[in-house]
Amino acid sequence: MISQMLVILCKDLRLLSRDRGALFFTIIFPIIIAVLFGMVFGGMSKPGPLDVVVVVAEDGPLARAFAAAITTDSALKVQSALTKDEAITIVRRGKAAAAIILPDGFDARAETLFTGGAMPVELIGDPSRAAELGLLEGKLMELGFRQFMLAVGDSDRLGRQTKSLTAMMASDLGMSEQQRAGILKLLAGAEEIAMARKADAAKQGIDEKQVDAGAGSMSGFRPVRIRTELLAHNKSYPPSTYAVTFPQGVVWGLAGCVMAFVTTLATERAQGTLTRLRAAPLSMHLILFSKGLACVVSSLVMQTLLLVMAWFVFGVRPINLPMLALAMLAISISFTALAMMIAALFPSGGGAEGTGRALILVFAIIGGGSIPLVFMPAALRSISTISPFRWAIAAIEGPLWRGGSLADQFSAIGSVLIVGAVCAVISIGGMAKWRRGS
Amino acid sequence: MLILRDLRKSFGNIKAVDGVSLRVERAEVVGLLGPNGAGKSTTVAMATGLVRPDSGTVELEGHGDPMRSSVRRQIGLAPQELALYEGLTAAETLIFFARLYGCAIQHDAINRALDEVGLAPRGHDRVGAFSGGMKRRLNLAVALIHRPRVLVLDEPTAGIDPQSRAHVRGIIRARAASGCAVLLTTHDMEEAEKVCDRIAVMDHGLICAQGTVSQLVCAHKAVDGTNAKGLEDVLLNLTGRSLRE
Repeated sequence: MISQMLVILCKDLRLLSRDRGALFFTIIFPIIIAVLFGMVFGGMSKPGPLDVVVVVAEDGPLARAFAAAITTDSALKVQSALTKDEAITIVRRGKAAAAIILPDGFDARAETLFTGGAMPVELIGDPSRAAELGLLEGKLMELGFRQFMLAVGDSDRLGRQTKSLTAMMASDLGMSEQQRAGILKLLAGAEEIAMARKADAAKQGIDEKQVDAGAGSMSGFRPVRIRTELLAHNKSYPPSTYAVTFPQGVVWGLAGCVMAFVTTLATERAQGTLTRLRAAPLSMHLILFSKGLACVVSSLVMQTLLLVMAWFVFGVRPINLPMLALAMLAISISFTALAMMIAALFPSGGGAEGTGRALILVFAIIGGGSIPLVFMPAALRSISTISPFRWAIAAIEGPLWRGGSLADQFSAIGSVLIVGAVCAVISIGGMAKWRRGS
Repeated sequence: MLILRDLRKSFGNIKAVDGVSLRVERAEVVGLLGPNGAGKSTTVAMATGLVRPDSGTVELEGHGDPMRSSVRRQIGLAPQELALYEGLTAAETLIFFARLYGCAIQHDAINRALDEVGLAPRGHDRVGAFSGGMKRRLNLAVALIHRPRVLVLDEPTAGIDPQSRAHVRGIIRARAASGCAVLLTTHDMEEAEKVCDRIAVMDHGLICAQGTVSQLVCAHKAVDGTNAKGLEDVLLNLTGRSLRE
């Protein structure tokens, strides 16, 4: 039985290798897609609200105010997280482009704005959205300036800052007495100004923060010190855009494999070779299993070739190779089930070629095959959950570059297998008709 | 050797075969004739284990029901369609099917099989480049490659030139002479007369008449008193002259 299975498997692979059209769509086309998208998305930016997650590590009025400024900014779509780990998980799952962490000691550092300090911000970004991180850094700097201008306009804070600077100057032994006296006189003047402004504002009932919030720019001054980090398993290895687009190439390779399989099955029916196989001492189950095995093998070969190319040509190194291999196997099996379903639902040659191809194309596109999911409108992103290709991309991204917990990665692979199981169940009804010979 | 007993098969409301009984002995060629839609192909499908009958039995004497895959090893089928893989060469096609039937592959055997159907010089050419006649001969070679005891041929000479037709007929007779039981369907009366030892005429899912060509012609003359000169007249008188769908 196994030898018969291998005979059919070898025959199908031989036929595939001789079909230039199928070979192109199975091997060459996915490589072109992966390379092309790698080049395109390497320099792509995206206008519109940016998904971020904010964490205030240590509660304080300044940290709260900065977090509120981020939350109310129309260019950002903000969700909150309690801990840094929680925020990283959200980014790792692709639910946000970056995590903005306001670390411990934020308020203390923010109080040193007038003495050369800066508000510390940690930015942990999704490597697949590196282009958007630049925009986010600019946005944080803008918000930082606004916070600084509010601080300048806040008499209490200005007073505190001046006192602090005065104390610092008094202890500086490296300064001549004349210099120190001049600066202390200047600071005393500043403190007087702050107190006078506070008294005036109180008298006139004006919110002094509003007066100064829109003050002019301060060239060269950076009120926010951003430490940006791309979320990758290994910090010394930021993945190339090809790592990010590799799953897209795989999607198109899978589409090619599925279509090649569906077409050969439909052709076997139309040309009578399936009848001939059924007349041989083989069960229908064995025939379908053997053909399915050919689809699994060709899909694995395609994915391996793409991986080898990504590895040696583009320097992509998977962070968890065994898990990636498992994901590739699960994807191959599930997409074979998808192919079986299409073959069962559209058994005629025309149906398989036309409707089947259209279905695969739509699934591939909405599943992130042509436009990455992050660039899709929210509604289309929701619809994409019906596409097996979306789950395939998620299953590959984890072990390839995104990382995440083993539970996350197994969950993505599990989703792929569930999709495959659903397809297999649907295909059973159709295939039963074939077995009955009707 | 091949025994069909009271076979019945319906597809929905359509009775495709309605009680067919037929026996094909060793070294005998039996022709199944009848208009389109008479039930010949369904009978062939049941005889080869491709379709399960609603009732009745099929038996390969000494082996059992061809629905069992081990029994199908004894049957060679040449379907009406040219059931070949255009991407394989003729030799690869024969090797593939021989392996499916569990035969040990020897290149001499493949060459002999190709030679038998006149394709030895083209053995390494892809089937897609073959003419209709060559494909038809290869279709037959595939049915013969595992040396079956029963040969079921569904219109084995449809659409080919007289030379190829004569060659195919020669092969069928030679296989019968070597002890093979052959059941063939055809619309070619000349072929039936030349190749078949016995004829069964089918219509509306039933066998209307069976016997040797001379028996059928004589019997028909005696019953109808008509001037039946050959098998075609017998067939037309039995099944009518009105066009079928």
